[in-house]
Amino acid sequence: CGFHLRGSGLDANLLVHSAYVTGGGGTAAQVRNSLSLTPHITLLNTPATDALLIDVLREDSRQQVLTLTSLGRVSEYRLFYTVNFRARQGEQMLIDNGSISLYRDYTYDDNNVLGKTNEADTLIANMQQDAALQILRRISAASRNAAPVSSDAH
Amino acid sequence: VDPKPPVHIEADQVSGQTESGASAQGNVVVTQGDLRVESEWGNYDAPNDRLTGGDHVTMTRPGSVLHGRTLDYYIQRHEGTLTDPDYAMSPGKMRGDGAELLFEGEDKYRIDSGRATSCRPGDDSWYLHASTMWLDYTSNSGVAHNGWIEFKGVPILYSPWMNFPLDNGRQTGFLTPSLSFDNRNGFDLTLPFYWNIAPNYDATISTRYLARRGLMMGGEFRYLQPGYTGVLQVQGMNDREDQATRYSVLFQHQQTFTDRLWMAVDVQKVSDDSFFNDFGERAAIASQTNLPRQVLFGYNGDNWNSNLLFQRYQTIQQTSIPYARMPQLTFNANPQWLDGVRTGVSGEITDFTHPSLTNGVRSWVYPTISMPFVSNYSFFTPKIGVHASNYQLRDASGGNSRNESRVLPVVSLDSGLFFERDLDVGGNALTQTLEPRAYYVYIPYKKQSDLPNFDSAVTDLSFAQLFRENQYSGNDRINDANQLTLALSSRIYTANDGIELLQASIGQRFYFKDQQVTLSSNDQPSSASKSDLLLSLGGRFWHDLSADYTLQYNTEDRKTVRSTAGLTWNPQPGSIFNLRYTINRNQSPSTEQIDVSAQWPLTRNWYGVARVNYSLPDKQPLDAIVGLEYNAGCWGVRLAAQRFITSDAQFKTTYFVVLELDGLGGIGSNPVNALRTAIPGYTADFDGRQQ
Amino acid sequence: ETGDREKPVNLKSDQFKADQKTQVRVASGNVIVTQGTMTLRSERLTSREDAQGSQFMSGNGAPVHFRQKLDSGEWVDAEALRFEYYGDTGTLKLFDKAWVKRGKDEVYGDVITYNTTTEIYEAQGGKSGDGRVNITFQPKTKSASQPAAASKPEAK
Repeated sequence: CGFHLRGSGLDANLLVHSAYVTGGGGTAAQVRNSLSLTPHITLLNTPATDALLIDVLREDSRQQVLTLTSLGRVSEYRLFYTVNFRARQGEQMLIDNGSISLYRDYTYDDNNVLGKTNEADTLIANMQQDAALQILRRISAASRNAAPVSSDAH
Repeated sequence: VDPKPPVHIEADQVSGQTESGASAQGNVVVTQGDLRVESEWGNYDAPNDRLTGGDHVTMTRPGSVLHGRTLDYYIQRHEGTLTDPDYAMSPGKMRGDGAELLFEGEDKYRIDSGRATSCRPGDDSWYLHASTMWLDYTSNSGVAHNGWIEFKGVPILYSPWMNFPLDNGRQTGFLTPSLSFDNRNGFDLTLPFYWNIAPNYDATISTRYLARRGLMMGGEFRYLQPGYTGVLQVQGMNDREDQATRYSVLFQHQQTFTDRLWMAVDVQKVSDDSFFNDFGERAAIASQTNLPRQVLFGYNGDNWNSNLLFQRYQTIQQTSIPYARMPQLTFNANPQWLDGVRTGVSGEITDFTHPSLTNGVRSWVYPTISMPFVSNYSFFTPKIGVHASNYQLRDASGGNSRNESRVLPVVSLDSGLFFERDLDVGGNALTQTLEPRAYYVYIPYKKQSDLPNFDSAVTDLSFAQLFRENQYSGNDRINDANQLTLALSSRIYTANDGIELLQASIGQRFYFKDQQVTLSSNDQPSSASKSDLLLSLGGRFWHDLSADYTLQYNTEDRKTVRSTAGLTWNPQPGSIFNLRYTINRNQSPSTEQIDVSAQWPLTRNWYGVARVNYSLPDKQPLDAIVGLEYNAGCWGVRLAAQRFITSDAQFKTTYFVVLELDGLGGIGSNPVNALRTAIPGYTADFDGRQQ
Repeated sequence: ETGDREKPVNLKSDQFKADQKTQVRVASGNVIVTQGTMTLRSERLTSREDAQGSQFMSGNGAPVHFRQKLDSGEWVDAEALRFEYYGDTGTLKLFDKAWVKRGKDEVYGDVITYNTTTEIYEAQGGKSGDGRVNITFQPKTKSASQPAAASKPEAK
């Protein structure tokens, strides 16, 4: 049915071999983690001129009541996670103010606040992984488009 | 370069001495730089740079057009008077007239016994009258003394001192009052006073009169500094009806000491259980059952970080109280020793205290090693770890101290493949992935029923939890596992910028032996051979239509355990329709609700807003808001009625009426916050909407 | 300056014709009239004396140019296509595309009457020109409130 094995995330045709990521949040850590696992890319500790520069500018999470029980208590929370990022390669701005927003729902239980807060943390970690993957996929798509432009202006 | 541009006079007739000035008659036009004054006659006194002119003066400058009878104006000093002024300012589109207009410096005007509006000429819907009014376009602030608002000819509000922004920036002064009515407090009038202390400090002091309860004073103080930011909110009153002093305090502060060391404080307290029911907004009411009192310190090392948390809760409206963590020290690191080997260690020491349940100091450490084999189209990650915990327990009264410990090896194997193909749908290039994934976990069984439960909970089964070692959150329960999770997901995203449009996933976990660890000792161990089936589907179908569907299906007894279906149609700002169905049989009692919310233009100026959250088992809406918004260009009305359940299972109905005068702010209680939480995607401001 | 009117008037031109009977003299061809600090250039000039001996002159040029030093030391320049000068009142009338410049201040108009003794001018928009008068005041370099001290004459 037309499917063939090809990488996802930062795949082969990315023309860059080194990357540097700024940002102190969980998504930035996940991006660093995925980059360090990608075979032909070295993760740098300091920015280099021709390296891919990924700035994870802002990450924040917000919670909103989604549904109530008939006793007026919270039955479900919706957890939002938004990430703002920017990607540059040398002088070329690949993605200027990219943003990703995700959400997960989880049921709430007033009688187990600590347990449910820990569950919220696991969902945030999951969204951070998902956001990191989406960031890398957008960067590889953007650099695939940017590459031909820079080499042979048609 | 000549700092001051020359004064140029053109007229039918001019007489005078060039050095000393001139008087001109007949269609006089005086220009100086970007100032232009036209009048029937005009005199210019050159030495004093003073221009007088009369009978039908028109004075234009970028940003303002003034008409009047006579003008007496010192050009360079921008001082002088204009009688019978009729003015129109272009920044902020304020116009009006008055007895006299005084120029008090560049872009600073004072209008005596005048009136102002932001409506277009010819539209006299509302005016702000004032004995004296200052329009200061250097600080974009307007002040009115003895001001009263006339709406459609009817005086509706008097205020000795009113302040309004000229560019809807932050403004010191009386925000327009808000009044509403509800079944708990009766008539409810709030008069906020906004004090813009400094660019990074501001305060809002509000006096709130509640018909049944009396006068409540409230204050919110906010500060924003490079290194720290925070907010302090205090409300208090002597409640006539309950014969008690009632108050609420909230203090939240975030500070970064260095780029590695930070702190966050969140302290909240209320005087009594039903404070929020009586005085709070809906969202605040329902979710406020445990108010945190915590201070959290964090340190981010290069590839390690650590947090120190002091946390206690004030619990309102219920019996069970969460454990206090005074303190909790967490640590995790993933040092890089060997290339291709991932080592990580996390740990925690916490002192859990509780008035009645078992107290204790729990400490655990969880080192892990994994060897990820990653290629462009696959990954294979074996991982082993040892979770070792130690409990020093004692009863709430301090007696019966005992030690417990638990050491469990954790072995997991995560693997997956990535397939891709290119698609062309309707002319745009898409890429579709197919991602099979298999995840095996082995954890031996260790009896944990005599361990307390400080911070563990059964997590909802979701794709996030499918690929976790432990189905319990927290660290008091580690499930025994010999299970394999299989999942297949497919994503479609645009080829040129990689934005995810659609996503579909299906997954299930297969247990090769019974799961004996339970949350509490009186739960039954499960002997299921496979978990519920998980299915999720979602994404944007067209640029303005998106939908999502999740299903948790029990394949044994062939019934839905949990499912949600949602649809959002948002063709343009100001037109949105949301539909959401949710059913959850995991909860007792199970919930099944339909949530419909919409904001839709009814006519060119009328908008309908509505939301109903209908609970099927209870056969009644738990939260309903219905309202109308009328936009007339320079003013608008929003009326809304909201009926919702409060956390003491009673209903509260609130009526909102607000008259919004463009440029002056709103008068009346503003339902925008309630609408924004009730209707996802609701746009409040009128300008953004297509007329 | 004020003393100019007592000074002798002399006249140079390419052609000169005097009619004893009517006391009318006609000069044509780059006519230059000087009296003290006042000079007046024109193409054609007719002048005659009245009974009291004061001059009346009129003429035209392309354009006529008038220049005189003021008591304050500043120079006044003026031009127009046609002029009339009344010696008795010291009034100069300029017609058609007339302008008067003093220091950096300027007046444009169709009809400008300039009184050389009082230094007062009157400018009217005539029917023939665009009917408008223009006058420009250069801001004083010093703050306006000080008395206007004499400014240096501008080199012509």
